[in-house]
Amino acid sequence: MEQHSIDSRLELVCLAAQLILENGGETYRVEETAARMAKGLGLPDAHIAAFPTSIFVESGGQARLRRISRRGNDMKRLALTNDVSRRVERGQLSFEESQRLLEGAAAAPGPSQLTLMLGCGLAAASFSLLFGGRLGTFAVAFVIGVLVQAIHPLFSQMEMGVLFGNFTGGLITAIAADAVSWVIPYGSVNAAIVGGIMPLLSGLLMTNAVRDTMYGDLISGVTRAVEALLLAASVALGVYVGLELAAMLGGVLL
Amino acid sequence: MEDVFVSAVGAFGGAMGFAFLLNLPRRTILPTSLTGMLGFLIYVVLYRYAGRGLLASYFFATVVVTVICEMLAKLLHLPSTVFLLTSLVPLVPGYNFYCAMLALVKDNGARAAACGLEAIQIVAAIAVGAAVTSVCFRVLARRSFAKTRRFR
Repeated sequence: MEQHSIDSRLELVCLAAQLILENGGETYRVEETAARMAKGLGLPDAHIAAFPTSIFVESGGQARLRRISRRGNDMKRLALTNDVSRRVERGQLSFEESQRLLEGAAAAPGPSQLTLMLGCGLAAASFSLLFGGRLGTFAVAFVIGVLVQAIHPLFSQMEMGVLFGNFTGGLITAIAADAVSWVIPYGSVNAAIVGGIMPLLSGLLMTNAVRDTMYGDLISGVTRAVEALLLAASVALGVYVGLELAAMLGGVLL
Repeated sequence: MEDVFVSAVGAFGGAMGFAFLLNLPRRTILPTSLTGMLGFLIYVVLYRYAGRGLLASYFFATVVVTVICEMLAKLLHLPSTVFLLTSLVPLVPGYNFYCAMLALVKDNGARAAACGLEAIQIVAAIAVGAAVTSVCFRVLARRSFAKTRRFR
């Protein structure tokens, strides 16, 4: 390990931390993974601080800072990074090998859009059952879920893309659920809407926010809570506008 | 009974849909979805049938889910987050937050407050349940780590 400069080793620690943070790890797990990497790479005195938007790693007067702007959930990358950090800590992986593995994980393609669309449809359809839907609602919510995920890539590169994506998702969900019910009365429109937006919603983010707070990561907790509220607000606004639009359209058409 | 069956199907499918969205490793998808279903069923039975309180129902459901997830994590040598995020999806109150926000944009403050407070209650119950159980497991794991050399 010693033949590599502190700089390049810090870079690797940072990469591991970034991979965990960007793919849905809790803040304590980010810091734990980075600490494990640093220990394995011969930097036991490294200091690490992670926030949902940035990572700082410092050792021997040298420091690295990463700005994190994309936060998603990819459990395969998370599991791989976790595994690499544990093997590095136990000295089973060389510097080059771990670098290759982590860079491979960072560059690995996520699930295909088709898988995501089917997953989103399945989640939407199933959740509509939990809110009073039956077979008809199940089918409608499935289509809505697929649609919501289908428009997702349009927003992923955009500035404020997550907010716009959620707003549009809510809008499409409300209009589609309403419009279908004019043609075929399939059951509870509300259940279809709630099911359709469920994959966009952030109850998970909120739970993670509270867990972060309980682990003592106060800044992360508050940041994630604000993110969750903002996302829920954008979805609700989308649904509201969609319902109003559908009511106006319905008034004209019917 | 029909209600319980529909809940089971809904929670199983919901968790499985999220398993695809969160890109879970393939071998973990089925156990995670089943855990999510079990957790939701525990909540449904406790809250709707046994008449237990809202917080207690969510808390116990979360504790059971977290215990299973931590054991799965040890068994399959994966971080527990992989299992926990997806298994908690059916329990987590995304709907209540949406409901609160919808009431806000519809200018109905009282309903927004009611929904939002319920959401906060549920989130607290789930977060406390998951964190307490996880911490117990971490303490136990650290203790047995020296002997076995097996990582979680």
